[in-house]
Amino acid sequence: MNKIGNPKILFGICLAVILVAVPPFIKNEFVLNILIFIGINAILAMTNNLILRTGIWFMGHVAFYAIGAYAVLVGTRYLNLSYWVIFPIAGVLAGLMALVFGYVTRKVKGIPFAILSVALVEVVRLTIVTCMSGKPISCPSPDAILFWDFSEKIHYYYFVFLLAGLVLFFMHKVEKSRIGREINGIKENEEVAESLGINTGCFKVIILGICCGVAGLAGAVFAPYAKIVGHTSFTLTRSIIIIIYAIVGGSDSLWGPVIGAAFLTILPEILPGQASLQNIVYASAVLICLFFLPGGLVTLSGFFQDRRRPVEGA
Amino acid sequence: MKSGEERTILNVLGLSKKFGGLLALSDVKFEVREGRIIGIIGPNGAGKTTLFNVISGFLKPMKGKVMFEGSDITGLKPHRIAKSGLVRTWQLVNLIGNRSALDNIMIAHHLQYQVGPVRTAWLTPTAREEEETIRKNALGLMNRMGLEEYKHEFTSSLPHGIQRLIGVCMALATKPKLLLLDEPTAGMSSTETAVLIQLIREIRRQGITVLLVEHNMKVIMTLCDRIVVLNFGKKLAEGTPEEISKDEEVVKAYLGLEYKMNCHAA
Repeated sequence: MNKIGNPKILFGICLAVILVAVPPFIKNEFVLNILIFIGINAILAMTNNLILRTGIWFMGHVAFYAIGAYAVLVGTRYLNLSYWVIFPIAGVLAGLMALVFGYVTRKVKGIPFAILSVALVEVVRLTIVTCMSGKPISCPSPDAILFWDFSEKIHYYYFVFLLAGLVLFFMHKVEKSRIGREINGIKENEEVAESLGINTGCFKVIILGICCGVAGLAGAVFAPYAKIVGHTSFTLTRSIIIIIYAIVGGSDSLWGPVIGAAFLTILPEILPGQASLQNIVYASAVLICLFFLPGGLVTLSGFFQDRRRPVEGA
Repeated sequence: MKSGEERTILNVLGLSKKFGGLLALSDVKFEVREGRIIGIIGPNGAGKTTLFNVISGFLKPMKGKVMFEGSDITGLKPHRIAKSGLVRTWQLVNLIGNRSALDNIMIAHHLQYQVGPVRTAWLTPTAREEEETIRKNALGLMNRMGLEEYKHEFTSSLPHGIQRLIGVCMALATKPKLLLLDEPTAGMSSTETAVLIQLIREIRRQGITVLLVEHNMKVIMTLCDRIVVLNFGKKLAEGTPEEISKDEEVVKAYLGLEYKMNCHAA
């Protein structure tokens, strides 16, 4: 089998080459900033989408994003730890907290669970407001690795790009394996999955833990990049927008959340006019997308679609 | 029947279950011998499905015990019970509609996968190999049940009877020792019913014990070795098909006089 001949793999390679080769020539900080946020948002959208696809009504993704960000803030600023020590810890911490949250709420399903996760976002945010004085706090830059000292945006860009690439690769692997099928089965019909011997409770909690852990890593990248971290970055609205990324892009597709995140991160930046007007246009754009493309932006091109249909003759 | 070797595979000991004020099951007890087909009949609301839900772990009983192969499985999680070899099908067609029939059968092979989740997610060569083996097994199973032509169809677009057959096929994929079939012929045409009767015989030939809830008396009478009759959550009678069809109380509660007369005429 000629793997290079597969148009999807070819597309992935081309995109990766462009995304690696072009940014050093972008001198415009504004554009780089957008690219970095597309990366962070894509990571959040992909992981949150996997949780939703498992049939968990989860709206609390931003809580674990915040946990990751504040873990780094506290670790580097107050405990004087190296960023590279605290970075994995931030992910593990967010993941463990998600496991605990998932385990405690394991009997709650559907909309009540959604409400619980909304409450979680507020609990985390208000804890931050209470413990961290509520004012934005500056976060130190990561320690330099050789010449890579994170003094320029491009350094962050490659870091985010690598992380987002890994998450996308992981999603691809999961989807291709039996785990993707079983995730689908649990969402469609939890009782049947259970009666076939699948430990659905354990499955869901672990998916929640892994995905929220990755959200924590995204937060850990966000904190030093933003330089000043405040609780206003971690509101419920942000959590909902993360879900919107995946839905607008196409929640049933591997590339959907990435495309949605890219589209909706770029859109408000290129819209003219005042902030309030921008919001109206932004919301209208989302509505139009959902109305005319219920399957998401990916349905515009058959290229990204139908990954569930089994290959003929396989 | 070689009755000397038969051992008890399922022992239901005095199960009771209450929904609010309604006693859905009250002190139901019966025994299932290995390799038999046992039918459970009774009027609507007699507690047949509740009984299935309790045995398969989806409901916890108020009182009583379920012994499967000599060990107590009362109150275990459904997936644990399925793993031990007691697998059920569902009354409503319950398939994963946005997946192909083959994918559904492959999901049902979950218990046969040996490679752990990490290596599976990484698609290591062993995981790929295993995936191929499972795919072949699933195709083989569909072949034997005559479902091969539907393998690439989305299950939600298939006819009702075929969906039910796929449901049974999924249960078989778990390699059960005891299969609980909840009204398998509901909504099936008479041809499809005939196929299913053949299928259940074939399942028994493979050494799988079958517990069958069914309204179609023809199916019950042709297939079952023993019949348990439930009425208002209580066991009304138990016996061979002949004994049951002659039992006055059963005739009064469920079968009806007409059925008795037909039986005598035949």
